[in-house]
Amino acid sequence: DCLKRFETESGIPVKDLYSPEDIKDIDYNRDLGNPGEYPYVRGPYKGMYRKMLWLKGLVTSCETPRLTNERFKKQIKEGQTGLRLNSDVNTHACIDPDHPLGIREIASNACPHWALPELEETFEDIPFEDIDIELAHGGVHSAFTMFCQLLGVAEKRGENIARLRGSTINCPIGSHVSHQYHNIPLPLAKKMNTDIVEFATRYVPRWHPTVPCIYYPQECGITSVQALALVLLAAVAYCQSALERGLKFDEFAPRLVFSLTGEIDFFETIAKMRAVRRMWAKIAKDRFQASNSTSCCVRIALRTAGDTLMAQQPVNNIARITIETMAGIFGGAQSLDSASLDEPFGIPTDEAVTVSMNIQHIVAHESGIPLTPDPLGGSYYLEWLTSKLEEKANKLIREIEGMGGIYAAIDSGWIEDLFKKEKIERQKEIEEKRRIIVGVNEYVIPSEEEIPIPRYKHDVQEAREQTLAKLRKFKQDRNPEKTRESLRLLYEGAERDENLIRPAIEAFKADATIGEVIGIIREGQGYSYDSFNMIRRPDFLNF
Amino acid sequence: MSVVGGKKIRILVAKPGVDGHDRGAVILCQAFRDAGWEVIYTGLWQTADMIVNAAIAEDVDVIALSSMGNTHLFYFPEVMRLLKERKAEDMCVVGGGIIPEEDKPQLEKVGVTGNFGPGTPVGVIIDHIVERVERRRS
Repeated sequence: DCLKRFETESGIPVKDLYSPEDIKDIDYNRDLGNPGEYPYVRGPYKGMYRKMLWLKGLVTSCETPRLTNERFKKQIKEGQTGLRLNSDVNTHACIDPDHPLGIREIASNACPHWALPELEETFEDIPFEDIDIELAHGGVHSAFTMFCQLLGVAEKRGENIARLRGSTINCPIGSHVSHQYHNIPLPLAKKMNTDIVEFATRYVPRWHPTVPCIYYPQECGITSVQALALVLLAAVAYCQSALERGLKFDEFAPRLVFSLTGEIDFFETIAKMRAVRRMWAKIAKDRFQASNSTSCCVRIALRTAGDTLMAQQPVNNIARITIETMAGIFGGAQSLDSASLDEPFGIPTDEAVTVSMNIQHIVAHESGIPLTPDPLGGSYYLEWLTSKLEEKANKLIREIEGMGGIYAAIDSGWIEDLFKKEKIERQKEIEEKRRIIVGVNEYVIPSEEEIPIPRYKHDVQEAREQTLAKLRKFKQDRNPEKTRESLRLLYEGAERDENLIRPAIEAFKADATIGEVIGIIREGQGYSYDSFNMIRRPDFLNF
Repeated sequence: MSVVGGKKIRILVAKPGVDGHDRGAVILCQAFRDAGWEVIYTGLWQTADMIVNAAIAEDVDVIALSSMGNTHLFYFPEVMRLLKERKAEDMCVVGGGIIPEEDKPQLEKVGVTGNFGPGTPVGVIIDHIVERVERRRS
């Protein structure tokens, strides 16, 4: 019985000893700093969790708005402080439930949010001022529609959107390269990305709209080195876009958040978080000439890695989620979304959700880990690994910049090839037992001997029928004139390439569906109504 | 084994529906190529119609359907129905993805076999497909 692997998950060889020699060139004030001080390696705030615990959350979405609402309420009672909302694949792809491609997939894994009433029901009796909301939608067009819908719900309730707290994953690059609902032309995705940043910066000041996300890319199998390079290249691209729009760096940079993955490699996850803070601090200061220190300090939202959780002996996943959660707290996350042990099977059960919430509470209150910021700071191995990740990621960034930048690397197919290569390599490592996964390629037991776990009773047929009936009634009951007029204004705004958030909010309030809003924006910008080219603009939208 | 009865195995790997999780499909395409088969990958966002058209046009031995989005109970039988309608029902159809154990008998009944979940060794999948193609060709 011995170790099979002497490398980090990214393939960095790990030596048999780390000592002061390995960190002798590190200057504390120049390279680390105290928490809350440039370059923020040890954390974005002085005192860190002594002042304020991380936002505890779990991505949540059941097959109907009613069930999702009930689950939110249960989770709030169990100590969730950050709500994380997901929606079904059709919502992510911005097609309505009756779309010919999407009609078979309604509510298959989450809640459909095709128009305002569905989101209203999802947040019923949950005051926005009491809670932080993350919209965890992979595609930028769904980030856009969900953000607009959320603002629409708030305004209909008479709540002041300037008090809304939360974040939107907003990453055209991340979603494009990981095939997460990338059925949107990249130029339009870039525009929507900047529309969200611009609008939120001006009108929703407590929102975090600039959120590059490499969770989905890491779920595809890329390494932490590659993920680091990608998140920084994406962040730079979105900041540049915002500057071109006329925003000042110090207006939006203080609300930058990186959405990262909590991987099973404990030390590499911590090092990745520390490295990314230092790398971003330098970019903000040197490249963007940040005038204030909060512009150099990025917040981290961590999601534990879904792809590390196995269907074989799922109870083992509790250990994996715990390791990843701990790594996130050692690494100084501002919000943490711990996956559930039944992730490989479908929507989490109530029991699984409670376990994941409790993992966070146990780390917070029993482990002693949060009592002091960056408690592993100064570790020979960790400081060496933090610097090593930075060095390797910088090398890759320079390589991609040498190709003309991240968008050029995407256009040329280089990124696609990289992703494909990594997907295949990860599998080979497992097949050849160069990477051991307990219960999968080692320590395998017959499935009859596994500890059984509860399974979610997913009444998907009922949810589908209910959704289609609701949609039919919604379209019958709405005032077509009102809807048409709001979409006409949205169309004109799209034609003139204006910021489309406000016209889209108004369209949702006038009972437009997500398919109609995105379809009209697409046409206004010169694309076909439907990204799958299966349906046309509805006849009543005759403008 | 790439050659069965003197002819290389031709396989269409297909992703029906909206869901974009394709890591498994991409890995298997490579594994099938490494096994010496001729592999055609449809890419994402396929209807059952598109899949069957492609399979017939490409004259494949096997269609491998990948469903990570809980759509297997519609798409897998629908592909079988369309194959039957177009008189191509002798084509082998195998499935994989996130498929609950309790759904497998239903799929097997309409002729979709395998239905391999995450973590299945690639060799097991290859052996199963070879066995099905051998039976078809004999």
